[in-house]
Amino acid sequence: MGRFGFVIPRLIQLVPVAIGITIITFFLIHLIPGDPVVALLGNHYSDASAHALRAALGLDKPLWNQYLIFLGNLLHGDLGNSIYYEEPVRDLIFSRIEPTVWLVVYAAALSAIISVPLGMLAALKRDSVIDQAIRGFFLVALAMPAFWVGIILVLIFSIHFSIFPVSGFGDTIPSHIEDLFLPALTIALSFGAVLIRSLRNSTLSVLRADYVDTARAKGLPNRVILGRHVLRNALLSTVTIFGVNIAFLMGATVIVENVFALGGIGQLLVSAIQQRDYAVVQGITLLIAFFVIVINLLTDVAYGLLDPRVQQ
Amino acid sequence: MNATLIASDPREPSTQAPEPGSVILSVRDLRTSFRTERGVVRAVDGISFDLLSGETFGIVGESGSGKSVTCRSLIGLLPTPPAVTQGTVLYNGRNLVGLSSRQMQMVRGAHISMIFQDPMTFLNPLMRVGDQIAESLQAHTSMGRRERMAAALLLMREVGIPGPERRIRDYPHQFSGGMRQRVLIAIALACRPRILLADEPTTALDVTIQDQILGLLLNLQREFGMTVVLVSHDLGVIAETCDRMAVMYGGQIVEQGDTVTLLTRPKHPYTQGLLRSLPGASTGKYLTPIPGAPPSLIDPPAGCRFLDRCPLAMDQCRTWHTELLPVGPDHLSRCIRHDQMEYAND
Amino acid sequence: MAYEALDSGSVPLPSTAEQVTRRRKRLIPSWPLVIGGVLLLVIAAACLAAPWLTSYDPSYQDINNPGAAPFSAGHLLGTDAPFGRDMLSRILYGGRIDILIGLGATSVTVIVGTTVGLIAGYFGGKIDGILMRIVDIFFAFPFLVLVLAIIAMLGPSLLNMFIAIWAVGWVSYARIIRGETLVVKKQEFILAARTLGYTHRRIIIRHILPSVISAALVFSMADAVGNILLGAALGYLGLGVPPPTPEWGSMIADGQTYMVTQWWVPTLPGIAIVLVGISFSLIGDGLADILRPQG
Repeated sequence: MGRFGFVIPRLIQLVPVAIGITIITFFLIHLIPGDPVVALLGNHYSDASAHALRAALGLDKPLWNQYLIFLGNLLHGDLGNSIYYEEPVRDLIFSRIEPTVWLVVYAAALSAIISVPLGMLAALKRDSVIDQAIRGFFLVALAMPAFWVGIILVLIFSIHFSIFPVSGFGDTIPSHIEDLFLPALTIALSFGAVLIRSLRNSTLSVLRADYVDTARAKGLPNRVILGRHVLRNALLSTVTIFGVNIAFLMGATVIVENVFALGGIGQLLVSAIQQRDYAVVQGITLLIAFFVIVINLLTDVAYGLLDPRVQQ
Repeated sequence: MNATLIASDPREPSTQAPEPGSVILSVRDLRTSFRTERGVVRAVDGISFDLLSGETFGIVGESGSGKSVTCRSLIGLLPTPPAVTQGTVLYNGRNLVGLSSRQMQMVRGAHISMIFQDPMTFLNPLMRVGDQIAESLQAHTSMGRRERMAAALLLMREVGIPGPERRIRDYPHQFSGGMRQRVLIAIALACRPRILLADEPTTALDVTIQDQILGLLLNLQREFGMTVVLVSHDLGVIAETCDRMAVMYGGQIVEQGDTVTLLTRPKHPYTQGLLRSLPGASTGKYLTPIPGAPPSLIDPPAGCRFLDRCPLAMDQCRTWHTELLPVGPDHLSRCIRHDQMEYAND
Repeated sequence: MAYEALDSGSVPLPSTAEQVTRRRKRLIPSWPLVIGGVLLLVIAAACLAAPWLTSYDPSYQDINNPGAAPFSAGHLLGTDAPFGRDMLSRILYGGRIDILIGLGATSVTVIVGTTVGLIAGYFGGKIDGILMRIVDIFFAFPFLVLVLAIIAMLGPSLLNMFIAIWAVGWVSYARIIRGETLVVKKQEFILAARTLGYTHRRIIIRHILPSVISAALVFSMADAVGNILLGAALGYLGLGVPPPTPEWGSMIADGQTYMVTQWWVPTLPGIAIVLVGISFSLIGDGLADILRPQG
């Protein structure tokens, strides 16, 4: 195990949070005013199906019992059934998940490419015109709704310049990359606005660090100091900053999918809400939350691998 | 081990080892100020002293007296937008103040090195210790990697780190405080500098370790013929280790000269106050701290800056534009009443 | 009971009020604060004064001029397509909803979250463990997603939007205030208060709260921006207030179909959102400047 020893406690800490997620998601259904079975069956309501559903969910049993049934189903990979599509939620999600995965990765990469260098630059040129311009730009970006940014970008690049398509995911990998550029850029601008302050601050604190003084006292050229002492140490906190904010990235992805009609689970979520397809809503919410805590765990692991102080 | 320095500026005059006792560094009217929101802070306001080759020169003062800033100003280690340094720091015939940053980089580490107060924060936590020591050699010499690491090993042994072969690939957090300070010393000495500036090197360490580190510094100094500037707020440390010393107050030197003379017959009330505030001073059972607080350095008073806290203060002190007066062979004092000082052991 | 007599504020304890007074001695406390504050006031006033600023009813459909460009046909900001409703009046009336969301959603979450954070930080131990675990669980959900899920269950309406945001938004404050409380708790004047036998309630409210409240206030401005964007997003997705009530998010959604020919229909409401968001952000920066401890 060696270097990965520190992962085990983190993994164990994850369990209560995971359980908590399932509890909250379970309770969502019970927020529905009125009879949940009526709501869940919607147009497909009949006495027979109602009876069957009530039995399957254990709705006549006490709440904690229902939860255990829910949890049991979950552990078997059963997320319930979609009323509207008449298929298991799990299958439905898997069939729609590809655009979302692409978009999340693409957006994360673009965010890194845009905001990390800008954050470091702002710190290096602290209080200069460049710094204030960068901070000012992202201050405004922070106030821009992601869906509106998407529309503006489409107006400029799809309609005016006709470079990128207005919507859609595309069929081949190159078309994915092209079609997803504007959506990913939209998310990157919003995400960047959230990240930029932390990125700038972490670079600033590295620049002010005492060991940079030592490096200067050694007579190292500035280039070496920046590359070997500042960059490496600042990038370390970048990993954490990204990981901690992953939930925001997911939220932005959900919206942007709907703006660009990408057909991923974000769009599925919204249409499920409009169709009162509660099981689907529940399933996607659960999935996204699990994804977030997994990313948090991976972030911890990555940090532990990069920072020698952690592996004690 | 002889590290040949290729980074020396060819325009510099010969860098032969200087005669012991000759002037190796000459500071004249050094002034460093900081522009802040509240005004211009005159942290160092006209400092002059000579550094003799091979000696240990101490600078003592309270926090805020300007002693650390002085050290850093000598090698231009202050952030230059807020800080402005003027004056003369003569080394090898050139004024270090006003050198370009590239030229300054050639001096730092190779000719003049510095060690700092808190070894934990002054070492890069993500870099192995051996690499941090060897980095200095990489910047100033033409040694290959294997040579550098061998040199780093040797240096670690010289500063007294046990089992260096095992420890050279360790990270700073794996060392104790005293060992980390030894690492910092190894880094500073890697290129065999002529002058070592030590800014409160033992303040953050346990008392027992302090003695070890001071002893190490003195040994290394003797062995390599280095000149050491030791900055501290602890008069005891300075007294034990330094041949000559300067006392700083309010951004100025108020007294300087031979250590023994200064401490047995101080010629400035502040120095005397410092001595009296030491535990074990012969004045009696009670500690007598100096009442009051140091002056603001933004708009320093025109006359003597120690005026408000001085037992010998008189009207003339308010208007006298202070300067260092010779009060003995190699002994200067900024007090106009230096000849009226009384000593308990007379 | 005897200790009550001692309480005349005789224990000198630092407070936010003192720090703020020191700073206010400058003529203009902070530029961002002033600019942001003025901007917000102007916009809010304009939205409130909508009936006097525009003669058009926001639902009135000028069928002769659908999709009119700004500065044409008697409409200062044009009309929307295909209904021909006056953009200026829709923006002004719509602003009421969005600004209401910003203020209304945030004010409750500040109070709830700060309370939870104070309790968790002050009492520590098991209470802290449980509360923070709950907070961690909430943080696993992107706020938008959880709000969407809650609204999915409760049904879209303005009230349900508030309920959903209140249910979810308090956790950020809980974390922040807990952290601040932990720091303040260690300071000596708290120890002094405990030694004097002050009740927990007194210590928390009188002595800890003033020190941590600045963090909550500064964050509440960023949170207000987030809530406005959240509300607008819900409107955009059709899950906000039902039509024909104008709301900036839903206006953008309506306009998206027509953006090629009538670009102003989705663009102008967005600009309004950005202006309100910037004003809150500036106020937040200004507050951070003022409330930052000196030195």
